[in-house]
Amino acid sequence: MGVPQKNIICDSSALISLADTSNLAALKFLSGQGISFYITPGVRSEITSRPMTIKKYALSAVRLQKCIDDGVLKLLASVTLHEQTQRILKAANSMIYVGKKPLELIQLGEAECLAIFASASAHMLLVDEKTTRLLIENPHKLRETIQTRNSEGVRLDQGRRDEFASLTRGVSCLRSSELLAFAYSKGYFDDFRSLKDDAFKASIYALRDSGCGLASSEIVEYENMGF
Amino acid sequence: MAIGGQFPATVLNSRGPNPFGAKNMENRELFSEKVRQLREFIHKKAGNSLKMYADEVAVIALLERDERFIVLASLAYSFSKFHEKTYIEASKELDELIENVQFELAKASEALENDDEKEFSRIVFGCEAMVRDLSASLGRYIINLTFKSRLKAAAKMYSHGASLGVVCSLAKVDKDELSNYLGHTTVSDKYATMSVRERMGKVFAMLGG
Repeated sequence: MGVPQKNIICDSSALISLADTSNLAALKFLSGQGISFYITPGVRSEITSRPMTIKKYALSAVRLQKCIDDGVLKLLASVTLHEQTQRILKAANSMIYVGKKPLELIQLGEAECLAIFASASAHMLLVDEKTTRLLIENPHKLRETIQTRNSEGVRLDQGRRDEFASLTRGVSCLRSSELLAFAYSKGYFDDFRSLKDDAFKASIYALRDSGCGLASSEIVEYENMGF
Repeated sequence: MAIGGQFPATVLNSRGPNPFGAKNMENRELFSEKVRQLREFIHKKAGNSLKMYADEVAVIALLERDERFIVLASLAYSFSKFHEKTYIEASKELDELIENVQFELAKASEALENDDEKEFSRIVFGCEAMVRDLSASLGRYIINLTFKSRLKAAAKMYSHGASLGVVCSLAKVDKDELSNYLGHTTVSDKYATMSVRERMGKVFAMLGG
């Protein structure tokens, strides 16, 4: 009996973090454990097409392109992607108002990931980027944080919030750090033998510095984590 | 669902930054006020005021979705940085730059008064280029100063709630670069919503323990 297939939609933020910290092999490792990783055309452009033209980022872009070429990252599109992406952009970017102006919160790549989620029968969204995560997990927290940083009134449009929640129902997020922790629990770091704990914790630190969006308290949790 | 299919590259967000040289000058009064303040702080060589100004204008850029506010923030960050280095502050080159930028910003104010948006945009972007040119000639510490200033502005916008994609597009910086920059800040501390233990519980539940 085969292992049930699990699908993860990947945002560029997490893929860039994994590439920058030399942890893309975790994707291949987990692919062997029955997990498939998907990207949208917008994300592919963000992780390869553009950075490939900038020498400083070309190495990460080449590594990510190899993941695509090897079939570890699979490209995903649908006939309704464009329309669904627009609806998500509209709902997300008119959800929070500062004064009388709606705050533009997310863009094409992030919206595409959310739009494709349902049609891909995905289980989780791999995203390091904090705004997309907060919009799904706790938009009130996002509004509160924006409020503390703005002198003008910040308002959450509940109608848009409900529409966004409806469009993204079932989306569950994990960051590159959680993916790596999961891979650790499955033996990804076992090659490091007695150093595997050190390798994992060092990777978490590296991910934080690569923009994984980890709070200081979360770093402490990872340090004390036992599987 | 089509695996391996293509998706046309379309700009989905029609409310992006104002196009360079658009017909109607939006925020003319706000720009006038911010240019006036910038000229004052540059004239006074007020490093702290320049930094606070830059932080404020970066947020305005996010709310107004207008790259020209980013340019004003970039100029303010850059001048505040110049003043941190004694050898730069004492240099003839910086005095010349201040004089030239002040002259150009005065022309930018005139352009605003004349509702000449194209000229205003040309001047402020030109000022940023002047700062970039000088920073390139002032030594290792200050190279890429306008780029770093844009990164700071982007980080400020990010801390105000917008996503990486939004702020990178507006500030014209790369996601890699901003991600690395943010990794060395405490921005993420303010956005923690659940513990790692809870997150891992979800992951194991969804992907299998």
